[in-house]
Amino acid sequence: MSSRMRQLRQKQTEATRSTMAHSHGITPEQLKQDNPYLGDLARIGPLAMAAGVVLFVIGFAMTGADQHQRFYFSYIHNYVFFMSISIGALLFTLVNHVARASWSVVIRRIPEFFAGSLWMMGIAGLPILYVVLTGSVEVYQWVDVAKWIDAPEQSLIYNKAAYLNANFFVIRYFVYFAFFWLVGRGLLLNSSLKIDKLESIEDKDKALLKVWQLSAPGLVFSFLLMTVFAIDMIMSLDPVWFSTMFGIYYFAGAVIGFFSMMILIFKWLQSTGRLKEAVTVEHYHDFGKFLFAFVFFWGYIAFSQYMLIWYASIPEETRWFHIRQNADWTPLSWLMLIGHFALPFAFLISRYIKRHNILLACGAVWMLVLHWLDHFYQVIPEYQRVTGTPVGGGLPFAITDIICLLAIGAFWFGAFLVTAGKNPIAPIGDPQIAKSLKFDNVKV
Amino acid sequence: MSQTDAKTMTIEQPTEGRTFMGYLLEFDNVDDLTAAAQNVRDAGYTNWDCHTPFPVHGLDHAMGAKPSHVQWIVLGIGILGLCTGLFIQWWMNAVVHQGNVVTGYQYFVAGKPFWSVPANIPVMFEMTILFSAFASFFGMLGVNRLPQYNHFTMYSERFGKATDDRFFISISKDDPKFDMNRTRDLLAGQNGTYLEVLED
Repeated sequence: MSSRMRQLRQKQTEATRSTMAHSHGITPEQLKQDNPYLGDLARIGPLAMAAGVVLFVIGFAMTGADQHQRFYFSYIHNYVFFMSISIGALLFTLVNHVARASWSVVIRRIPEFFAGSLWMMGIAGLPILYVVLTGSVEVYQWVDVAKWIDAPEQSLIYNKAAYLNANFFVIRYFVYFAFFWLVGRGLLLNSSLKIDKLESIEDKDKALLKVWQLSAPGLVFSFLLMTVFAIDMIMSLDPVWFSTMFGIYYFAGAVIGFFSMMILIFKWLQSTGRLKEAVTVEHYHDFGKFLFAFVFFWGYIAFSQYMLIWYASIPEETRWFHIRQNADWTPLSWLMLIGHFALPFAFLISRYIKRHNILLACGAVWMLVLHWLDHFYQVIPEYQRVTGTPVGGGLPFAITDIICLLAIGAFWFGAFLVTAGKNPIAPIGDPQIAKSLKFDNVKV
Repeated sequence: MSQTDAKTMTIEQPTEGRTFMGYLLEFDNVDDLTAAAQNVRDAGYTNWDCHTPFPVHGLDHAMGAKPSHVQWIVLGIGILGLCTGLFIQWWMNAVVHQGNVVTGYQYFVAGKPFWSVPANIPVMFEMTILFSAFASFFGMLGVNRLPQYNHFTMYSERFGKATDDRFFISISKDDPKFDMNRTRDLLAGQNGTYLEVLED
């Protein structure tokens, strides 16, 4: 390096340092005084998990035997909904490590908790394994291949049977939860907590570099397993139908759910006096930008999936949309187009709204509700198809939707709180934390 | 804000018989530049600028820069692109022959209707992107009044360092608040290293 280069580098370092002096934000030392712990809130964790299990047991027992089938569809609907948020957290943390991002460090611990608690959702999914293994009620129609023997779709089902069978489903289930445990808990959360405790900056840098390097293959395999998860849980509800875009469709929704949840969780944490100074409007602005970008990405993917199937017009592909854009389901299809894409796109395009305290939270609540309805739109029409329920009764909401929402939601949030425990809710010892606290969006 | 040591500033004097164009104040660090930018902003100048070899965070705030209008240009032209995409497809595929006037081609593809919005969306999307990209590029040039054949900082010998390791504030003589002596005193009061008089 020539001496001129060194001088210039010196100038740039000074420039960065002086910028920090100008803009708002706090120092890492002040962060430690900014209440970065859950404290008593973490004690709710085990209670919430237990409440989720109890609610599930009581809810299932109270539901009449004729409604058990509907219960399972509600269960799958809410299960993939909460899983999507945690998977979004896993992918977000990984992609930030791959990009070596510094802006996100202060908000990274919350997604790390979600990624670290992802393996516990493997317990919440056991009822789905039960129904697949026992076939107690008809949910996944590929479980019993024999009944398709005279159906016109027979060859489609039989050709998929090597993949879509109960034993391989269970194996895959354990593979992706083992992987989520390895990456979410081991690679992301545990290394981040370890870096907090390391003393010397050299050790911290070395440990962080290792996380960065392992995150790249971790990201690739997480994407693959997320695709498999979406295909197994949602797409195979109709064993005839297939869409090569389904994995990315699930991903787009997952990221929307994740960022909406992040906005609301940080608003909630700050309202309870935690991280009040550390997380600034600049971080919310970036959540808003991500949310806006992925609202459009979702629209792009959802439309691409629709248009390719619409254009090709092949019966085994169009059947999925045929149910969803006719009769009772027409309003929900329009709601997806307008409420999940067009309105939030127009709403979140503005910089003013993304930086507004309440308006951004309103957008996040709206997107979370629409994301839940998106999974309703994906899962519940299959219940009508499987059972041959006559159409004409409006959107078939059921009380089991609410029971499963509360049961799995309580379990999921409890798992998050249990994982957080006594740990700091911001990476207070990360080498890049100072940069993240001073993060500032350039005005354009 | 960290304070740097006071500098000795060399101050040029105007030359007799040459056309005065403006002042150019040189700094050797970002802190002094940002502090001076705030003072120039607070003094109410409008026709002035900062020149740095790399983006300086917080400088636009120190200069009192207002949000750009380019975004509105892009939004408007982008919507125009969307409508154009829709219109050309309607005109070419969905409009029938009217009397002797041939107005369009009705391609019959795979049994699809001549007029169907799902099929038109990819073109609408691409046209929106294309128009928006042009609008942001040319809108940026327009808002910055580029290209310019000349600028008064080009009269400076030292200004080349703005691409290397020096930071500059230039104030044009066309600024409504400009006054030969008062502006010079304002700049001389900053912690710069060289106050240059720009002359034709």
